[in-house]
Amino acid sequence: MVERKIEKTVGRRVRRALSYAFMIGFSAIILIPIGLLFMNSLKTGPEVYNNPLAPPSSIVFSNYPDAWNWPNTSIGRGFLNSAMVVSITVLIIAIIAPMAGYSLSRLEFRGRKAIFYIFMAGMFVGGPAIVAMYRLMMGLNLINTYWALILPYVAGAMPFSILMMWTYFSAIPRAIEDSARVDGLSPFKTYWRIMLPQALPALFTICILQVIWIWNEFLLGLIMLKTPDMFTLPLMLTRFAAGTTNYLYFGVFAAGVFISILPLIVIYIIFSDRIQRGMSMQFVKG
Amino acid sequence: MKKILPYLFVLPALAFFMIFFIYPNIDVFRISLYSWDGIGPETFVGTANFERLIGDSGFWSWQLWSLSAICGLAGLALGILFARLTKRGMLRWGVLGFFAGLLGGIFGGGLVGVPAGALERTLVIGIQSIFVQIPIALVIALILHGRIRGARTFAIIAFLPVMISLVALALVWRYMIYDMNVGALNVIVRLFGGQPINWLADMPLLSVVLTTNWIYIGLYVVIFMAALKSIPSAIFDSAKVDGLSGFQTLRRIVIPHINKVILLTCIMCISGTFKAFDLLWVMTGAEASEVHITSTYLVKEMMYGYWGYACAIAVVCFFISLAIVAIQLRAMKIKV
Repeated sequence: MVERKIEKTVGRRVRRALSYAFMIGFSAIILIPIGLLFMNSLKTGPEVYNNPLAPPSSIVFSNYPDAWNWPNTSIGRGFLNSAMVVSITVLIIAIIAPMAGYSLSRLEFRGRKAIFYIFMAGMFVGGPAIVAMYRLMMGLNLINTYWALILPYVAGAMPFSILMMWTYFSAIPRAIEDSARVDGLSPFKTYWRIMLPQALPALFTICILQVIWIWNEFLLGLIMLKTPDMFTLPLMLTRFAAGTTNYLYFGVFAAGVFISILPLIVIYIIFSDRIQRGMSMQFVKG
Repeated sequence: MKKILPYLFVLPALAFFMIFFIYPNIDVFRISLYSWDGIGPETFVGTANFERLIGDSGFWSWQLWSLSAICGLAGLALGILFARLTKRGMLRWGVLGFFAGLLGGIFGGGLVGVPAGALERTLVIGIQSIFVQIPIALVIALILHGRIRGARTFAIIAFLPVMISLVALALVWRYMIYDMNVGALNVIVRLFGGQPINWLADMPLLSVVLTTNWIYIGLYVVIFMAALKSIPSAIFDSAKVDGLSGFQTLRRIVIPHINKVILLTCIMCISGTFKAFDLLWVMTGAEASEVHITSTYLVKEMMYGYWGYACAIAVVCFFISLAIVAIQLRAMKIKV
């Protein structure tokens, strides 16, 4: 009896050790490319070519300002362009998505179901439809402007954002709204003062997810933007890489790529739980 | 006021969505019937774009499909034969044999060197990710579900690549891992005295597949962990009392409980590959590359000035994803 128990605990320990070994190995595989990127961003180009796997002999921090101010393909420029596009887009989404979600979940009107299904259909079928989008933007005379990105981004974000707001609003008890009505608040004020503040957590998740998605978006920018000065960060990166992945400037290249991923890594570390839940939901739905 | 307020609330979102999502997605169908270079006038050409698509060996290769059809039929025959000999369900084993043959034909043919097109490459990348990413992710999710210390940290690390832009990841892998001179893989190869390999030029599909798996395993880990949490822990306890081994618990309890989620992730693997663009585009050198999946092939045709033709590709891909969505919707209705 005792022997069996000992056998069992030993088996469990071995299994435990194996689990840890497996997880540590897996984490290492995930982290090595990113770690390598960071390490090489602190070395000079020749040093990287000499041995890309060796730690830096002396830390060259100047790669970062160099990448930020790189002539013609400045990472700083791309960073600011992207930041601008992201903030305008997310601002618009944050205003219109909760309104639509509230209306579809809480207000009674004809065609409510039909409108809801139109949005939900967009979640499953269709995509950026770039050729037709280009034609539309050509007709509106918006090619090579940021509106050619912002408007499709907002439209593409609608189905998921509205669904999230809809779910959240549906879960809030009706009594709260009723008491607001008894107090004589107008429907708009009920929304603005009572309902929206309660839905802030959901709204916040939507905003973070959209920031991530738009910060990383590449294809639409590739088609719509022509002037290199206007390039968003992913576009700027591909151009930047073409000029810096060589013997002299490889360290600058690594620094540039690292600058581009740093904001998201910071956001991710702070809000990892929220982002994981939201993003896996988004992927499942899309 | 009270009557129009709901409409006022929903109108901005609906307008954005109709004009900049629904309308272009419908317009694609119209443009697919025209010849257009993106600048000049459109000329109506009827189904010419689709006819060109049927004969386009860059998009799909009839050799590979005929090979896999033959293999599929052979698999069907073998399956039925096996079922007859062992007195098992004919339909089940026949269908199984057919699909195994089909897959074997596509993968085997590709390996032997039968020319492949963008469509087959997309399917191969998607199908291999089902067989690689999902089992690994399930194992990791089970380990992390077993309350090991640091499970949360491991989950955060696993999910990290899903967050980062595909362009940045493509650049990191292209120049830091696969590069001839400074790639980590070649440094290791040299260390063991081998000749450096030009990974992305010599085995592009394998390199892309490796990177894709590296990125997306974490996504499925998180999805599976959420699914595992929904299984009541009492069931696990009773399994332990009944003396079920780890593998038996997996087969009898875990998989039946989350089969819906597993099916969903399988569909995600395939439909995600149809949308994947950034990674391949940046890693294999944009439109000049010879290795295309459907989405990069579409953009390549655009870059060469065949916009109507690109729309025809989009239409065909639309119907393929529609079929996948139909399966997805049916799958989600399955009662667990």
